[in-house]
Amino acid sequence: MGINYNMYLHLQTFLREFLLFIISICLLVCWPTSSMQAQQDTLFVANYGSEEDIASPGLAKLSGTIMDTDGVLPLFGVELFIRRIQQKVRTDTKGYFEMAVPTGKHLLEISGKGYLKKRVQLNIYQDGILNLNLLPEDYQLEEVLILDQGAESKVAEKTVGLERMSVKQMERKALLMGETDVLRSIQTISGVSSVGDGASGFNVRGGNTDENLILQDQGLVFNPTHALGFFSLFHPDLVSGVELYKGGLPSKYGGRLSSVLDVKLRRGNTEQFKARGGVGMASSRLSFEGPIKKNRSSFLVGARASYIDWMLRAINDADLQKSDAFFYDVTAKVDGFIGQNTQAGISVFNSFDDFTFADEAKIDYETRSATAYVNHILGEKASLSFNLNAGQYISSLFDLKGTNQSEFDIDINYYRSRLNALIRFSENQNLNVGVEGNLYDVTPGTIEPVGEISSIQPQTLDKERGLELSIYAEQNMTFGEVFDLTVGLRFTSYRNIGPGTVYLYPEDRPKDFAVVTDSLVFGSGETIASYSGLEPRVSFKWNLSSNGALKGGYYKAFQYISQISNTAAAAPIDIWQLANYHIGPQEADNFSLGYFHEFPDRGLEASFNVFYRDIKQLIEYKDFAELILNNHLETELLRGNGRTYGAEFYFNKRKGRHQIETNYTFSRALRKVEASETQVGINAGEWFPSNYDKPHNFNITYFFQTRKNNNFSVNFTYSTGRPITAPVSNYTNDNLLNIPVYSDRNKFRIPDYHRLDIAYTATFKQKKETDDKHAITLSVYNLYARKNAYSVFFRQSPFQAIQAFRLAVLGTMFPSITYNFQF
Amino acid sequence: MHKNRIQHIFLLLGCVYAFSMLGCVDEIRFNIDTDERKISLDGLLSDSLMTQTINLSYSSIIGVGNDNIQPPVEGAVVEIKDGEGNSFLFEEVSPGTYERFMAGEIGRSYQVEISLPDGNKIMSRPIIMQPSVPVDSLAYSIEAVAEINPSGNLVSANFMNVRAITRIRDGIRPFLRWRAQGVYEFREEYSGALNVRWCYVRENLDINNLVIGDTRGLANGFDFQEDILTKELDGKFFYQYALEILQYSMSEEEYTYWDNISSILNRDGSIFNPPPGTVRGNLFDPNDSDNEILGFFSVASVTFKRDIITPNNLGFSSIPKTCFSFRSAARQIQACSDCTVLSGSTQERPPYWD
Repeated sequence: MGINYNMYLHLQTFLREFLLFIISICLLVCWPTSSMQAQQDTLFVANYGSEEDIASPGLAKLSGTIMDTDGVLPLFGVELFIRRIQQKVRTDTKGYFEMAVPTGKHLLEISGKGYLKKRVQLNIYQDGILNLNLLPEDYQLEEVLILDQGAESKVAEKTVGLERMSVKQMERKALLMGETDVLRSIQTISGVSSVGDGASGFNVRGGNTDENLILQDQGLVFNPTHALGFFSLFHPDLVSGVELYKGGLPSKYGGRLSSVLDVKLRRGNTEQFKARGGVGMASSRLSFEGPIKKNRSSFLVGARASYIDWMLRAINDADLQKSDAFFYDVTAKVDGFIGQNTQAGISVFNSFDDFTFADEAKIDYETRSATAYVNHILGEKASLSFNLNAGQYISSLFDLKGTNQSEFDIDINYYRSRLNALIRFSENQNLNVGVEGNLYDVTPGTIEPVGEISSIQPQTLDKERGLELSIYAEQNMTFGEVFDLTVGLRFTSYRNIGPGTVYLYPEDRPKDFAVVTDSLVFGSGETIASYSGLEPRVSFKWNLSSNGALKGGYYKAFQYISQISNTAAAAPIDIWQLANYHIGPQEADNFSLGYFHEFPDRGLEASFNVFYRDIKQLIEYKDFAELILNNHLETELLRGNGRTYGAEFYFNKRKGRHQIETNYTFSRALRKVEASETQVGINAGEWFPSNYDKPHNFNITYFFQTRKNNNFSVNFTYSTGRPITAPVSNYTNDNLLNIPVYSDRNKFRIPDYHRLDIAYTATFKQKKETDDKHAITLSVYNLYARKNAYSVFFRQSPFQAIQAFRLAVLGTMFPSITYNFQF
Repeated sequence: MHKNRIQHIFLLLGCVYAFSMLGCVDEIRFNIDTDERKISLDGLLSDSLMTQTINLSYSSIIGVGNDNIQPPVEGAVVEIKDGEGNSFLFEEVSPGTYERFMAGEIGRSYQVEISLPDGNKIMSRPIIMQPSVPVDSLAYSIEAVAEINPSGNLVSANFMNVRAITRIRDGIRPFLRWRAQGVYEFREEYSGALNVRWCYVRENLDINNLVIGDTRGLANGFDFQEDILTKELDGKFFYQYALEILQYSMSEEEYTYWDNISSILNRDGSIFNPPPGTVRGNLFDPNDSDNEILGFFSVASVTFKRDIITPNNLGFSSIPKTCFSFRSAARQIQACSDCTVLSGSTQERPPYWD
């Protein structure tokens, strides 16, 4: 019955998304055209009045906003240049510009770092507005000799701790099986790490994986990986770039303690039909894009599917040869202009993973999301953006064996919406205000017998529902060309909503489900628990010289939904726990300070950052915590404090045939859980390192462009081994069972990690005047085949000394070849 | 039951997947520098009238070459007290080993109290002896397994899997633990043998093995089934083999203790292994809560089941003959001419032997 109902829900979701998709295409195709549009032409004509309208030559005011391809991100520092009269202005932080232009005909050149140049033939005889979107350079995969890929230099960027990475930068990294991978790429950024090869998620400045807010086109991503953690969920051909906020967090973001990873999907090509794809050793991908209505609306659709079964078949093991591993993802997006000042679009995404081990077990997990967005420019001084998201994450674990045949499911549904207004008071002052709502509906665990011989007793944990509402305002101020200040405030209000039952425990002893004193029953819609808090946000940039800047930031954040996992790597079947009566939100205060310097002529830049995070009410776990199918989860959790601190050094040479990017991070991530009347402590209440405490982290990427179309890259990474708990003693029982006695939590460390990868890409362009091309990438991951320990575990046979074993997940050299094409 | 099964399945998937991605496991040196010893207790009080034993020792120190040295705790005063106010004093029969002939009573609570020679005390929390639950039947299956031996050759062997089937009665959902032992017949065989002797050899089948079961997740109307033993079908089965299963019914607290032990013993380094920790039993120092006492004072009812196994009733005829058919060599080869050298051997034919 449960399965049928699930199938019904799946079908319903699919139909809903499909209908939305069709409606959006119809809207975009049928919407009327206006005479003046922000077109995607390389050169187009903009007419403002006519020569007859003016009595004598004078000045006309041209103003407008330059946005990125999605129309979501205003582009800062874009240069608008009229060569003939040598007049030049730049856009402000909100992409806004104003310029006084002599009436007449001019050729306006618009250029921004990392974006394709655009030229506009101006016939201007009266004041006018020009709103444009720029396409990223990656959009055409053009070969350029000087590869300066960052959207902004780190000095120009106003937000401390904001890292941008384009797909082209990701393609430079020599990656596992030749797959361009968002998550693996960002792990080469200073302050970003993971617990090991194949681990799901990433850790920012020592934070948990669930402390990262991961967005794809504003849709939430709860599990960003395929294949239990080996590959990233994001289709690289469809991504325009990623932004990782690890320091100063804008007020529009919230809900997570450590970072925000904002992955933006591209718009489709509005001029011509294009296809891209690639064939790799693990998966193949294909995408199509093109205009729905030329220069006005476009579609983009792409899919990826794996065939990693061959690895299982290659292993001389009967069970593995009967096993299957498979994943796919499908993404579609339509986008276009509606009228002169409105851009709208819809994107849908579905990813699915399956791994079956012989006739024993199987795991499936699936992410679905649908996003609709509208951006509207309100005259010269304001713009509005609105987005609506719905999504679902489902994971299922199947036991296929005998009387244990069963299906265990976890399900998270969410609905998310945000309305944001940008008000521009002047060139140097603007205000960003908005409201955001997130509704979560979580089924934390259901087990059902499968088949007639199953002896499994069905069990369903109570559904949980939480509503998180936020309102925020942020003022950006520029004082001359010296100082930029952003001050913001975000207020969040959270309710855990019934129905639900809350168990009460004695207040003079640790919570124990065997000692429940009473229970409270809440009806549907009743508030079970509520929390609220103010989250101040401040960041500044002080230009100490033309090439050097001091930046700092502070933000506070509350987290109302947490992944409950006591394993080193997050697992697909980990539950996400909403804040409730017993489990309050986690909160963190984050401080960042950094100095950035660049030598533009040489293409060099360097930075030094320090950071500190203070965490309250962080979630820890009792030894041997029972986290699955536990209606009394609060009895297994401990609450404590945490702190992470460290320093990051970054050096980059971004120009020339030889380029280098290197960073070193010193970082500590510590926790403290003290015993109290209501909980036991950890390590006698002393500070101890978290699972993600890796003090030293070093990355270096060398990139060499051998010829115009070919390039070679080398990547080396080193990090301290992560902490583990190891046996320090043992005792024996009557059947010679050697029972280890473990040390304090995380007292020891696994061996250090280091790895060298290389890649060579040969690109073949068929016609010079088009961007049709194909490329072959040869890469070797882990060139010197180091057996990096993912974990160390211990075994002891009777009368034998204890033995330590190292599990290396990718413990060998991994060559690969990938073919990519675009036409 | 749900939790264990789900965790087991997931760990299995994680480990298999890691290996399929060219994973590998190898032994490494790992420096552990510690000199901490703690007192450990291993004791069981059952409802069978028999010699009940409690062992007291210090834990070993790892990493300094003393991994298995666990000095006994001598000269302690060990007694068990029941909920009715009765006290049962145990006698130290060898260093660190304390015994008494007695039986526990189902439904009554018991705890141990120990006075150490240095004046310190150890106590256990009281535990009620649970009702006994018999094994209804044992089911057997045979599985051929091929493996590469130390010489690098592919060898195959047949293994017998034993599953215990327990009917759940009266709505009682017991926590179970199984122990297994066996008796086999061994006949001397050597060149020119004149007076061949037959020995009956008792062996422990669960050395370094722990099998427990939680029946709470079982649907109504089903028997509880647990795979409790895998044993190679070697020459010990040539004549006949007596398989003896002890099924203990224990408290939830004890089950949790063994369940936690099981989780730290079965660690495989999988990417989804939960972290290990120190398993705390039901023992404590009443005068110093920071003084951790290792082990568990077990109070459990026990039932016994014996099956006589012959090649015929296994439906398996290709069992090698006893002598020289063992994998391990020296002692067995010596036993071919003197079966009394085998550990647990007696020439006295068991009364149940046909």
